[in-house]
Amino acid sequence: MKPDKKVGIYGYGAYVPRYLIENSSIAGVWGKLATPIKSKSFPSIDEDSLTIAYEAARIAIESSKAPRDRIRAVFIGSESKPYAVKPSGTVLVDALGLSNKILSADFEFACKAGTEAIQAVSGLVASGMIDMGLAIGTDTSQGRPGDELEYTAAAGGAAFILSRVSEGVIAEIEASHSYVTDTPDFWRRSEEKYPRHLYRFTGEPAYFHHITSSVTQFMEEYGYKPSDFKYAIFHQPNAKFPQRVAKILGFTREQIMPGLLSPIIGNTYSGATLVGLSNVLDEAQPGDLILLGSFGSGAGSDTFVFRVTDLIEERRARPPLKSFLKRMVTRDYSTYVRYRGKIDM
Amino acid sequence: MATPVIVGYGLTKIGEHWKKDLVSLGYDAAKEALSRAGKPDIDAIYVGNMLGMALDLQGNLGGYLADELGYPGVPALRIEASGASGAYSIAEAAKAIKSGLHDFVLAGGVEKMSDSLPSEVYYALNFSEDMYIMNSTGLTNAGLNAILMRLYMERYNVAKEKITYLAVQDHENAQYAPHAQFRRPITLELAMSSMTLADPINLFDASPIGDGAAFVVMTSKEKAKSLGLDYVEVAGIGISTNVYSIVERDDPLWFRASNKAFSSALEMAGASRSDVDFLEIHDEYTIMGVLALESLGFSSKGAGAEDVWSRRYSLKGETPINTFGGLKARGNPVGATGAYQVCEAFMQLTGEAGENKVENAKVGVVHSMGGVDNTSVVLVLRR
Repeated sequence: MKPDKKVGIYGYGAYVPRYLIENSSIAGVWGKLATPIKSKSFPSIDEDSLTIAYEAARIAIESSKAPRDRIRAVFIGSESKPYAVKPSGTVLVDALGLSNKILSADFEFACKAGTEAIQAVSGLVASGMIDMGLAIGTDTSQGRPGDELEYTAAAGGAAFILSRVSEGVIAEIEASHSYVTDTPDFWRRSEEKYPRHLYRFTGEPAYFHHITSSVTQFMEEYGYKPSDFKYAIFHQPNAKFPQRVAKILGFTREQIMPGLLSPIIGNTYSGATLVGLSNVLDEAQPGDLILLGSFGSGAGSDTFVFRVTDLIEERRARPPLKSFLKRMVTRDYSTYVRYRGKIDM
Repeated sequence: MATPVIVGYGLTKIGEHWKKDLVSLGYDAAKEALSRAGKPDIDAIYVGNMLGMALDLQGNLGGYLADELGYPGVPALRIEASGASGAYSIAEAAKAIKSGLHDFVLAGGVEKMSDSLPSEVYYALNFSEDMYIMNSTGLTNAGLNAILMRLYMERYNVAKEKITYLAVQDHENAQYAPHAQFRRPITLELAMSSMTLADPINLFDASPIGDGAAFVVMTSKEKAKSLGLDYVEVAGIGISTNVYSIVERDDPLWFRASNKAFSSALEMAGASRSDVDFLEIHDEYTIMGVLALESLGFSSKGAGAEDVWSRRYSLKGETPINTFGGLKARGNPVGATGAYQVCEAFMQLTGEAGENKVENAKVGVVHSMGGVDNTSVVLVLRR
C-alpha cells in the first residue's frame, strides 16, 4: 500500500518497565529444563498498558517537539487494555495534554495491533483529514502460571507520531502491506484472564506463514530484496522464531540483531516490533532502509519499509530505549506473581 | 488357499500436516497405493486407526474412506488395536485374500494427531493400556516404560546409554528416508541430555507425535502373476494378546504376545528365525525395541541393549532393524505405524529402499504392538 501523499515518522518514543525476571526463575518453579529466552520484563504494581503508552507517547512528543494541538488522532493497539469497555485513548488524550478536538480508538489484533494503528493513522494523515496522529503499541501481556506463554509474555510499548513527509520526518514510510487469514492459533475470550494457544500450530501455519507471505508479497510488489535493507525487525514471540523467519526470508544476523530484544525483555506483544523499531531508530543513520514485519495471532502480518532522513539526529528519542534496559533490576518469581496479580485470594 | 501378496503401497511423509485432516491424509496414501497397483477394482477396505474417535471426533472411517476413494458399496471397516491397528488391518486383509473371499483389498492405517492439544493426545494414548490402572494411579505411557527400563537396567546391570543408543541408530537410518519425520542424525550425548519425561525415560527415548497414513493393495499371488504385477508375499501372519497390565504379568520384561505371534507367523511361512534378513520392530520407546528383540529371540534375555550397542542391528549389521528409522525417527502416527512398517518392508524386498537398502533381502519381518505388548501382530513378508 502506498498513499498518494507520502507519510513518515515525525517522532517516536519507547518504554519498558523496570522489572526483569529470569526465565530460570520461572523454570525453577515449574520444573522446566529448556527455556525460550533469557529473561523478560514485567510491570510494577502501579503500571498497566496505559501508563506504558503514556510514557512512550510523552517521550515521542517531547523528543520531537511535535505541537500537541496538531495531533488529532490517538490510536492505541493493545491486547491488555485496563478496561474491557472504556477507551484507553481518552485517558491518554487528557493525560498528554492534547487537544480535545481529536479522534481516538483502541485497536486489538493480538500482537500486531500497534502496526495496525500505524496503518490507520497513516491513512488519515495521507488523506489530509489530520495533520499528525499518534499510533501506539503497548502491552502488559498475560501468561497462565506454568504455561509456555509465561516464559515470554512481557511488558513494553512504543509510540509513533506520524505526519506528512512535507512536515519534515525522521523516517519516510516508503510502502506497506498487510496479509490476513482466519487462523486461530491463539486467543483469549472475554472474561478469561489468560490466553490460550495451540502449541506448535502457532509456528508454521501461523507465525511463519503470515510473516513470510506478507514480506514476500510486499517485496514482489514493490521490488525490494533483503540486501537493500540495513535493518530488519520481525515480530519476536521468543528468540528463535524471528531468527528463523529472517533466515527463511534471506536476512542476515547483522540486519536483525539491533531490533531483536525478545531474548532479554521478552515478547511485548503489541509493542514487540515497535520497541524493536525504536531501538533501531536510536542508532540508524540518514539513508538507512528498515524493514518491519509484524505478526498478530488470529492471524495477520503487516510489512513496512522506512527510509531514515537527515532529521533523525535532532529528533532521536530522549531517553533512548537502552536507558530503560540499563536500569532494569531482577526480581524473583514471588514478586513477579504478586505484581502481576497472579495470586487469587 | 490363496497366497496373499502386496502389489502396491502408498504413504505420506510423517509430520505436522496442518492442511490435511484425517480422511484426506488417508485418501492421499490410499490413492498412491492404488495407483502403484494399477488401479484395480477394490472388493474391501480395512483402515487401521486408534485416535480418530477421541481426537478427530470421527468414527466409521472405513465407510468414509470408501466413499471418498470412489468405492461406495464395498465392505469397509475401521480396525482398532491401538499401536498395532495398521498391521492388524493388513493381517485381516491378508486373511480375506487367503480365504478367497476377496480379490483385491485396500488396507493400511491413518492417524491425525497434530490438531489436538498435547495433553489431549497423551490422555488418548493411554487408551492403549488398562484405564483403571492408568487413571487411578496417574501413570502415563512414558511412566509405564520407565518402570520397564528401570527394571531392565537393574536386573541385567545395563547402562541406560546402551538402551538409548537405539534412538541414535533410528535417526541414522531415517536420514535417507523421504517419508521420515526426523531425518537429522543425533548424537548419544544429545539423546542422553534431553528432557526427562519419566525417569529414566527422556525425550529421545520416546517416539514423537505425528500425522501420517500408509496403505497397501493386496491380492492373491495368482492374480498378481496373471496381471503382471510385482509382488511381495505376506507369507506368515501371527497375532496374539498378553495379560493386559504389565504389573500382573509373570515377567514384565518378556513380551509373551510378541513371542507367540512371531512363532505363529514363522510357522505359517514355513520359515525359521535364521531366514529373516531384516526386522521392522515396534520401538515406541527405546526399551520396547530392546525387549522386542529379546522376546522375538534375536537377542538373549538381558543382551538386547548390548547387541544394539554393538551395532549388530545396524543397517550394515547382522540383522538390520528399523531400516527407515523406526518409530523414533521415521515417526509413530499410531494407527498407521504398522502399515508404514509393511510399506518399508515391501520397499526393501522390491529394491526400492535406496540408501537404506539391505543387501539380498528375501525375508522381512514386521512386528507391531498395541500398548506394551497387549496386542502384538507379526507379519513375515517374503520376496
